[in-house]
Amino acid sequence: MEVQLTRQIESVLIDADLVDSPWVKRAQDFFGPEKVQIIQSAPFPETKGTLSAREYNRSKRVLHLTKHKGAFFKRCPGAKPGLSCCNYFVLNLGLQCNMNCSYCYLQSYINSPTLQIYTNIDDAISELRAMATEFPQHFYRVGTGEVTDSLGLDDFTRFSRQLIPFFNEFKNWTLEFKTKSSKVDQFLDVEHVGNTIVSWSLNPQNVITQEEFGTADLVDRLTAARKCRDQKFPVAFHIDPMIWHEGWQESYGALADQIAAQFLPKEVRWITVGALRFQPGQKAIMRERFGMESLVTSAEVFPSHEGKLRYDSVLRNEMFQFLVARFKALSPEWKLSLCMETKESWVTTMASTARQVPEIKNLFDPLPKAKGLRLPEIIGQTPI
Amino acid sequence: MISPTAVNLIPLSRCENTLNVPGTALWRSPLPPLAVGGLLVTGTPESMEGFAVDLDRDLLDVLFALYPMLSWIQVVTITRHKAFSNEARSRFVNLYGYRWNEDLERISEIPFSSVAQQWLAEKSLGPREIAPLLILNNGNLQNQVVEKITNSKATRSHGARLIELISEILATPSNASLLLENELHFFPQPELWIQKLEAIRFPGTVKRDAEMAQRLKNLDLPLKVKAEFRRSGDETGVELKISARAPAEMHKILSDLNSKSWEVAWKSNSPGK
Repeated sequence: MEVQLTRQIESVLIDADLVDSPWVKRAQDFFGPEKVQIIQSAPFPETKGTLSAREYNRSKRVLHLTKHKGAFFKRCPGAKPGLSCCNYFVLNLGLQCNMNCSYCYLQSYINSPTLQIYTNIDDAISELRAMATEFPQHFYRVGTGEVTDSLGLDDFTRFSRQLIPFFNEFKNWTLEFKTKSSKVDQFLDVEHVGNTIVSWSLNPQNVITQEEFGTADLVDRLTAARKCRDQKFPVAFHIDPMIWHEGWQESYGALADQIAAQFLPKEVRWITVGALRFQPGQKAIMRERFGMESLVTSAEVFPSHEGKLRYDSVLRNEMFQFLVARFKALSPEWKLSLCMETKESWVTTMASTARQVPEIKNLFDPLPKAKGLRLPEIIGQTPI
Repeated sequence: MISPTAVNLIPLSRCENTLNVPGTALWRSPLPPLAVGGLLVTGTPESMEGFAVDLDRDLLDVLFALYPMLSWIQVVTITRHKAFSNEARSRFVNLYGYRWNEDLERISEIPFSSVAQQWLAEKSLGPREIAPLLILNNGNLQNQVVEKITNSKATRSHGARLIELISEILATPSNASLLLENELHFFPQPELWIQKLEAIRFPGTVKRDAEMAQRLKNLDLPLKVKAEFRRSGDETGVELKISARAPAEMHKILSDLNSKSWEVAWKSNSPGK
């Protein structure tokens, strides 16, 4: 069941330079004044480097409102040699997620002791504007769900209400909210031009219950997706990461059926499919936080070519083929693609490479190299 | 002209000789006795006619200069000495490239016996390799695992793999008792031990690989072709070794191979089934 922010967050720390900003009152109204504290220096200075399991757990309960000093806009880490890249760009408006998935790559990536929200969204929008003005004709896809859930905190931040109008100005550009939340009511009334895609990361309910703590139940995610569809927002789904378990065919088959029962293929912009993968360095904290009973920590995974641990490639392809076949049997019009997979997996599963599938080809067309944009330093995966 | 600098000598009887660094006794003894603040850092009480050179230097810098190549367990053992404050401990581990944090602290608190310490020092296993033991939450068991590994001929990488496999299996309730009742399935040859443990940790994959290997064996391959089923990380495949004395022979073998379809398909759908 989706965790309520007001119950989850134990304290809200606000940098002293924001003391005169509207954020203080907003935080006091939302979380209660007793939880809000103005701080003069960085919190938890004793916490340095990689977080321990205890520190990581704590970081999800302490919200830190601060201004971001670096770049907001980056390429997705999927843009790496050997993987088929779908030209995804990320806009980071915070760091750390309020949800708690056992496989989350942030566990090996984050060294911030708090859940950060970057309050200077105006700076982020200026950065986007500079880029969008230079390349208005190109089809950039920008997601806000790389290092935090796009909508998990949005009932508090309301960033969606500022981002959607901005993207209305650049119709070729696409904004993607990627989420496991059911919080959509806060932006449903915002006017849009059809280039804000709301996408859900989905798994069967038994996997959600066992591995995706604090996230919305499947039925609530699909209900939220229907609300967005009804307001003409394009929706998309990410069945990622598929997690092997006894009876996975039944679970994932039922998931495909549930989606198909509630949406027409033309109402869903795309469905991406991916399988469990994580950095070897992430294992220690995952074992500590979720034990070995988890389907993720106990998974039979092996080092892949690019270093991440993955299921055996044959099993992976079998899982992809199963799901793709299930959707195609329901309707050949479903638009499916693989996330962070090799060309070999594409060919095995889809019988073609990414750029040979007409419905999604344009996603994979190379984009011009933009000034100042570098491949990201991070080596993780997009939160899923 | 260089003039000799006077050195302070203090009687060894006034020096403390309690700095314990597993595996470094041999290094220390041939060196002349050096002390920092009365703590003997090299030499033995018998050497240099009962005197030590008392260095007016920072203890941490002296130790790092003397012992720059210590393993993790050696570094941690040194920092248990009372001369090390929390701040000094943090600074000292930093000199060796580690960052002191909660996890490192917990790893450093695992009560390894001297046999286990000696082995960890000898194989130079670091916190990352030792970390899987944390999931066991039981000091005796953590030590027992490493002590058992010291009885095998494990190399450093074998040792790291064994620690991870054993810890993960022991932390899985359905497998733990089986492993404990069977002496952790010990084999003196680490490769065999690892194989046995992998069959428990990755039952589905190991079973499917074995089936594939068997299926390959049953194929009627041309003479002079040896085929082996291989796994490399998440990929599997068949390695062919072809013996040919002349290009024509090679050509014939290849056309024999091409004349049939050698598809070795996966039949079972899932690991564990």
